[in-house]
Amino acid sequence: MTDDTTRRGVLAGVLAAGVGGLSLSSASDLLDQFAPLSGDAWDAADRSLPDAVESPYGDADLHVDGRGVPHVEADDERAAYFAVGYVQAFDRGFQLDLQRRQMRGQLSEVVGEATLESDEFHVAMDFAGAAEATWELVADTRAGPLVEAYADGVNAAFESEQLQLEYELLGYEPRPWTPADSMLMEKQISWDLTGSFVELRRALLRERLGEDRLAELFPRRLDHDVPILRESTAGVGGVGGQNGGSDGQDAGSAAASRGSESAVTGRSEPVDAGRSDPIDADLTAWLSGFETPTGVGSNSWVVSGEHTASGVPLLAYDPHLSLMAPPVWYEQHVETPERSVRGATFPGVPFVIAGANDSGVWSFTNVGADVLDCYRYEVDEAGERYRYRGEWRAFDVEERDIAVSGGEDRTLDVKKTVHGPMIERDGRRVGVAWTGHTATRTTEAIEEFGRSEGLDDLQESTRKFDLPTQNLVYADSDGRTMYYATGKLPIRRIDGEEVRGDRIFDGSAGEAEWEGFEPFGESSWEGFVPFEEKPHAIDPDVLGTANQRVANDPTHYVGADYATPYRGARIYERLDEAVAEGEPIDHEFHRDLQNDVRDGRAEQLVPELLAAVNDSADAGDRLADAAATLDGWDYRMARDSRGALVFARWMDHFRRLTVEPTFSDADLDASYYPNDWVLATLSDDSELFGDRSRAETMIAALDETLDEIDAEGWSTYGDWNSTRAIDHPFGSEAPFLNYDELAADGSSATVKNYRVDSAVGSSWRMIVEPGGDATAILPGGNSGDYFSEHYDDQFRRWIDNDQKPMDRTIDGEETVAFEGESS
Amino acid sequence: MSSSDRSGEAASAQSQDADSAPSDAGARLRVSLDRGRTQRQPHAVALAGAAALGLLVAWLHWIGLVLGGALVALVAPSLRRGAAYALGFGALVLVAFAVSIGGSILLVPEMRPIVFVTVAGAIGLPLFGSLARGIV
Repeated sequence: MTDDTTRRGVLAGVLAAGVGGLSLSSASDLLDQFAPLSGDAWDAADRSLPDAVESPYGDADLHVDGRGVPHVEADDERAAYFAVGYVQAFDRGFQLDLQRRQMRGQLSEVVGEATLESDEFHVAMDFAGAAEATWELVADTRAGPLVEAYADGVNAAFESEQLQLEYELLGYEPRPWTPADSMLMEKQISWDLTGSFVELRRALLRERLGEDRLAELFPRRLDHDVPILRESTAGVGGVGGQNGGSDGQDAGSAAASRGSESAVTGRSEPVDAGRSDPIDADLTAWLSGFETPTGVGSNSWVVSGEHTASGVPLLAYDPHLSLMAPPVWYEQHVETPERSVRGATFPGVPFVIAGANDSGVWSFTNVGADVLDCYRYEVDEAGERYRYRGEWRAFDVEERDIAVSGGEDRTLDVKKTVHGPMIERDGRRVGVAWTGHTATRTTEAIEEFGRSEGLDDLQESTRKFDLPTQNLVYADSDGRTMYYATGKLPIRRIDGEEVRGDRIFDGSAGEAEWEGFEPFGESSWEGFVPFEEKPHAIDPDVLGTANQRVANDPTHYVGADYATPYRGARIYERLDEAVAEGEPIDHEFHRDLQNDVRDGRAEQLVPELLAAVNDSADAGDRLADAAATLDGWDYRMARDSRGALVFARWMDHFRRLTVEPTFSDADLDASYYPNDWVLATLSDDSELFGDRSRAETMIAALDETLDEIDAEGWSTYGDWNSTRAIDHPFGSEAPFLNYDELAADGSSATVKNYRVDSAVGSSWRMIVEPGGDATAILPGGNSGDYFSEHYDDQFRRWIDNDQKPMDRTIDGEETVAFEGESS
Repeated sequence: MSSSDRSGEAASAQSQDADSAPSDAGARLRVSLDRGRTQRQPHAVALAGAAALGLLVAWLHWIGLVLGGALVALVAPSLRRGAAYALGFGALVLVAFAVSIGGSILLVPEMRPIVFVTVAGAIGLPLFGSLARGIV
């Protein structure tokens, strides 16, 4: 009896302790989220759009097609954009909030200490303040009420619909969406494309490597002859914004006599040791962590109707942005009496950014323009005032709190000068001026693009495209084509002379400051490059942009962050070839060119490598076999290619063996390495090769490559070049949110662009005949809901560039009726 | 005659004894429990009721998984059978879970590691709850 009682007592104790322990430990949180039946996470597993939604803006119909693309139709534009907001929030609600949190510096509030540095940077830069200033400007335009309706639609979905899985995993709900949040999305993508601290890096490189090596490894102009605006670029309307171009009717040549880029290059830059001192290596490295991601760029080209099979221009576009789950782009289609537009936008932005309407098609690639300047100041000992044009001024200071989940909240003093934010870290300071830190009208421009009625219309709207600096490529159904560099380009002057912007300026002296720029206010832009003097081409026959130098001799200094010319050269090579041979260019040709994986680096380097191996007395069978593989290779970075695998890995080893010794001695990590064009064209007697010759370095790299391939067990390029890098922001914690790992084609230097090391590549591909057939594909799916069939239904097709139709017809069985109050 | 039939008769005798002391609610409960454990029809009803109640509570909170396991075990003839019932209840929970989230269930197996919590919770918590059979 006693034993039985004891046993019962023990069991009761175990049960009570077990339940109590589970309830009070972190296991309780896990069970709250993931227990079968009651787990909060499973609430997100069965989401679907309702049949009807009440709308304060009137009736609209939403159809979702078989690829998850929403088609919105309404008589009233505000009713349409309420529905757009609703469906974007349903499909990408978590992404909306995550992006907003990143830009507002509020990630740590839900993620914890891991994102604290990111939050400190974004709070210090006060992107949110710039978005507020932008909304004040946009609110009173035609776009304003549409943005408000969009925000209301987002909030209606946040309130009515089951939130996505990520919200359940992180255990929070989004705050209401505001119109300023949509402006913040404009700032985000603009920062991703133009946020460059190149002047800080150059100053550090100059100090560590010396002036001569800086010039050797980081030339301000790459030695190639395939700028976007070539000498042969000509058309009815002419070319402008460069010196020596066929100026036609444009005003671009009017500025030819003024300071051209060649006149404001390094030769004319004043040598001033004091001003050239780097700000601080640690601060530079810290800021570099928040710059434009490595490899961001794009391809876009247009061929006029004279050379196409249909007789109508044909435009191809694939922007190379961060690849992630879900994709950075969201496809949508809007039909109202004012517009018929379909294309891609960034979640959080109401309007189609790159796409087509009934009159034309437009696309953007990054210019690489220099629209950010850095300043040093004389600051008083208390750190409260800075010297400006002979007098002491107090910093504009605002205290901001950064909430930290599971940690101690932080307080940050956000300081600003007359130029913009002042970034402080560990006692080091740098002032920043960025064209995005003021009210910009890009939202107005994009809204107008959607209802534009041809080239003249669109060109006029482009005047308002203040940010970011982009290569706009356009074609309309009347057969017209256009290239125009968008965005405001600052003019810096010292002693009346234009100077480049890739150096650190003396902010206390007011040196080279931008005339007409009002940070966190409304700018007049009066001291910036006039619209007519920006690089452009009206009615070009054939034009390709791949982030290469815009023009050999632009009227004004444009930028310092141009891409290597491999993609641009290949695009022009194939377009020129097709035109010369009279080959009618059609959709299939454009798709094939988007799929092109011939690597220009291999053309430059493989023959030299083969010769080195051939000439080497020490090369054994292993190296000879590898050389034979490369000799029979067609330089195509195809996933099933052995030669591509050997070359890709060899390229990395060759780069490291060449650059690392010198850079390591200078305490510069791989993020400071020169680009592959510089490496490929490096002189044989460069000091970088040290004790080894260039040929010996090549052979040593091949030896290390083969060791690595053997050790890893790779056999073809796709074994290494996979989609493993494309992940969800929380993919390391919840790997199932990542897309499948598939073998991929392409490299950093191929037209079909994919960078496995930085997860950057073709983030959207489209081919459009204005007013005619259109196709597109996303790297993933249109839905950000893990449980949706559209989460990754385009991923495999994207790998093969198998595009789906992008017609402007209302399609889709899943429908939602947005009903106005009077309905 | 099987041993279970014999134990049924014994339980019935105990039940008659219990009826002679109607004021003893605990004893009545004990009698009912014994009937539920030993007589086929009451057992089936009790088991179904226990599982249904467990499912209902499990839908509201994970503690229902422990409770469900305890309830089905309590109507089992023995502790070992109780553990088996609890495992069965866990399987029932997983089936109900699969039905409740529809087509999304096909994605759940890929949701590692969180699916481990789900499956372990469905099986482990009822099994843990079945220890109650050793108390009552």
